[in-house]
Amino acid sequence: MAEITVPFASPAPQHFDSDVLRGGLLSRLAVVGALLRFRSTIGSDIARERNLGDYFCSLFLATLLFTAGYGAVLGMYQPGIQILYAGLKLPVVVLGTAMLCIPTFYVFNSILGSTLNFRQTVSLVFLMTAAVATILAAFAPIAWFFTVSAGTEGFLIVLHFAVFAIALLYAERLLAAIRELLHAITGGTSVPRTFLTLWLVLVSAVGTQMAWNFRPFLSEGPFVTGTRSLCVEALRPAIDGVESKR
Amino acid sequence: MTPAWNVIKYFVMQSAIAVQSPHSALFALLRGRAAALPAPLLLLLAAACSAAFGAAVGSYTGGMQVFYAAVKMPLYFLSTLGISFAALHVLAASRLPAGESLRAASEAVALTAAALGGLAPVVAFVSFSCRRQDQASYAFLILVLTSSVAIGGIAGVARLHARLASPMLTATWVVIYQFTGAQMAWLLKPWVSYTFKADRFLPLKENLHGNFYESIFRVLQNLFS
Repeated sequence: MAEITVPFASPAPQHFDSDVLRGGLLSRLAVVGALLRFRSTIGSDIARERNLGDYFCSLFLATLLFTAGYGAVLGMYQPGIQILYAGLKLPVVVLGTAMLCIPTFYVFNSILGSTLNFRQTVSLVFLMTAAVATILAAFAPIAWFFTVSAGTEGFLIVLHFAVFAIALLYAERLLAAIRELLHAITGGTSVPRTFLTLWLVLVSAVGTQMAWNFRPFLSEGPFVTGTRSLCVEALRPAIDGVESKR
Repeated sequence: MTPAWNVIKYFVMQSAIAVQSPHSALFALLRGRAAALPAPLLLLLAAACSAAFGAAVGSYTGGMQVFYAAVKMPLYFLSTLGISFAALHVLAASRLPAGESLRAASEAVALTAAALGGLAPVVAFVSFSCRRQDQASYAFLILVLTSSVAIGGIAGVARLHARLASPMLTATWVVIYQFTGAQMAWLLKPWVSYTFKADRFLPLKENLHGNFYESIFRVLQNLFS
């Protein structure tokens, strides 16, 4: 049978070499493809501490760009300066949350018997942020579509929460897969499974509070309100409403 | 490059090396390989890590309270150990020489402090986010601080148990250390400073009235009267 060839179709790469990340700004984004398709290579590189500096820069850049893009979509509900504000604020929220939670991850993971050093730990954490950012970027067109077409604020809040939840679940699955790979390669414990789940719960809580501190994202307002309060206060109107109905 | 930037860069690099190097004391402490470390080095680590947690606690009030709490937290850990060590060692003397007792106690304290140091950035962030002079936020902060100390304590006790290899001795050491520690914390208050006055480093005159256990008794008395 004659082989059917598709014109102009370049074959998908069958492997990933992290040396490509050194090629320049755009080459650094190749890490996203690796994150989606070549997890075993990433796991192997982290285990052998190969090109960790390049991985860090690439993951950081991917997180920065993708979260800025999704932030801009968030801000489109109030077109104007809010697009810029939200585009600047979301990378701060995601990267800031990761940086705040790195010491907790490193210290407790080490106490629990992990063999990962600090550089490997940082790479894993930024792998998580890049995974979250990739999912946000993938859902950005859908979020944009609802923002400009049928978005009431309440609906959009639920939509964005759902997207973030999916992103976090995806990151959790990715880290769990990398964890298994590290375990297989090094033979030692990389990250205990229960600890990973608990740490991601902590990351979600810190991230939610960080986003609350940098509010508003959807409604019009200043870059930051500057008032100190806990994110659970967002639930207060709902609780008051329920109590008044009683 | 300004000299200030060079100094910052130097300290960041040195800190990274200290955390990362497989030969660093912190690395050995976290991974349970601290048996060869001398007790003074473990106590130095305990002081540094607990100072970070202290600063996080003080960041609710901010200003000088960050500095005050950062100084008082190592003081709390080390002076509690200093005061209770004789009693701790007497109970362990049949098993361990004094040097080994000191090393085991120092390792447990250092690991507790290291765990608290690991939580410090998150605690500082929560402290900074809590609304000022608001009962609910204050209660939440206290809950976060108590939970952090409990988590750090569990890490320290687990390590102590591994070193002493005796549940009864471990439990006795913990009870003695906590009994002294509770009063030490009382003596060194304020920690969070709910009044938002960062002008009291150590109001000894005030703190020497009563003690921790009397205050607990009074609270219980009020509860059931």
